[in-house]
Amino acid sequence: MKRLIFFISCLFLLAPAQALDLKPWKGGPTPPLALNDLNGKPHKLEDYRGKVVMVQFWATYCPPCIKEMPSMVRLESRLAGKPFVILAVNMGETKNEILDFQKKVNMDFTVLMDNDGEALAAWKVFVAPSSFLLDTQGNIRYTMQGGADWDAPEYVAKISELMTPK
Amino acid sequence: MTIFRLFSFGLALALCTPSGWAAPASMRMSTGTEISLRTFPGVGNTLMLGFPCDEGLGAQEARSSQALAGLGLEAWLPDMLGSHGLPVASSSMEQIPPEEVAEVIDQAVKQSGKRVVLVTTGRGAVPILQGARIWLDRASPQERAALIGAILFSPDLYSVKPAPGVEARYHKIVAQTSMPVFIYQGQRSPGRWWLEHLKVEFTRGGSKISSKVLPNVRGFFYSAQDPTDEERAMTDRLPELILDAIKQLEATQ
Repeated sequence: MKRLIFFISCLFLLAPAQALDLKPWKGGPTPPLALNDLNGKPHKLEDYRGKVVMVQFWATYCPPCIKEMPSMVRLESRLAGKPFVILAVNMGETKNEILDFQKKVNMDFTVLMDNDGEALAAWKVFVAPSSFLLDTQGNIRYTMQGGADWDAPEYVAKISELMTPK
Repeated sequence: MTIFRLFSFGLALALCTPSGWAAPASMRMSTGTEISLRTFPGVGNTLMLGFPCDEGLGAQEARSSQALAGLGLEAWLPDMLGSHGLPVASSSMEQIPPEEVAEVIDQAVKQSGKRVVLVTTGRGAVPILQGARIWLDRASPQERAALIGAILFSPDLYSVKPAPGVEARYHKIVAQTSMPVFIYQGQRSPGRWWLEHLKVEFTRGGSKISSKVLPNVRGFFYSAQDPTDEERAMTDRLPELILDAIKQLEATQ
């Protein structure tokens, strides 16, 4: 019984701590990001000034990426109409690999192709998934390593805060 | 007649096994730890010391070692984790005493009389390279030639798990390693993009380093719970990959 109470207590303690996985950015300027999407359309980070941007590096072979994708879709629909966009940067896989993956996992946000790993190197990404939250001015404000339930209230609150310029 | 046959069989065995010796079932360390060994005798002059890893080569360890032994490469698999009651996990790797790894290398070199190559994966690379460093520092120039080098599958050699946007820092053993090293990295892994970066770090210590990206497989393809057809095929090729890497290591010495 004691063990059960301890376990439940741990669950409660862990839940609100989730958003703490977001690490305030203490690094330098935002690296450049200029990549094509799956249709070959070029995207530049500058195109998204005025919006909060989640830049996420991911891969189809990464289990935490697969797990968190549905919550990212929910997050985007939850913030629909607000200045928020997800740019999911794929880590060097082929278009076919991504299209096959899209048949299994619903992900209607923008997927960018980092074919030669240039963005990954510039953004210093060592594990998948790695996420960066940028404010409306294009400055990195938070980073996160690993997967998350992105539509959890704590994350929505943090992202909403970034929509208001300071 | 029966006695003659028995004698012939015994003689054949003795001839097939260098010096007529039998591989040990365990190794006693100076710390008192008894490290159990799985051994796969081979008739060649090279011994593979296959160390535990955080993801575990699992059943593949034995299968690949058996196949390698058939090709003449003797294989010893010391159970460094089990000997310390450590679970198969990345965090356990930090608790393997490098001193014991050095002793295992020493005993393997002396008992077998063969040239030794080290094989490990993931975070296992840290204690194995540390142990090799200790052994090399103690060995005489003649003895050092007995260590061919190390083959690392998807090594995790960061000092701490690198945070997004922050320059990765490697464990100091990378720059302290001076023996030949061969790295296999799965194409479908973030580590593939940082392989050249890691190789530069290795060259700081004087290591002759070579590598190969394995196409269409993940980092831990050999222990994947959900292997793809390509990963199954690559796992079947592990003995061939190890033999190829040994050739490369020998060529760089």
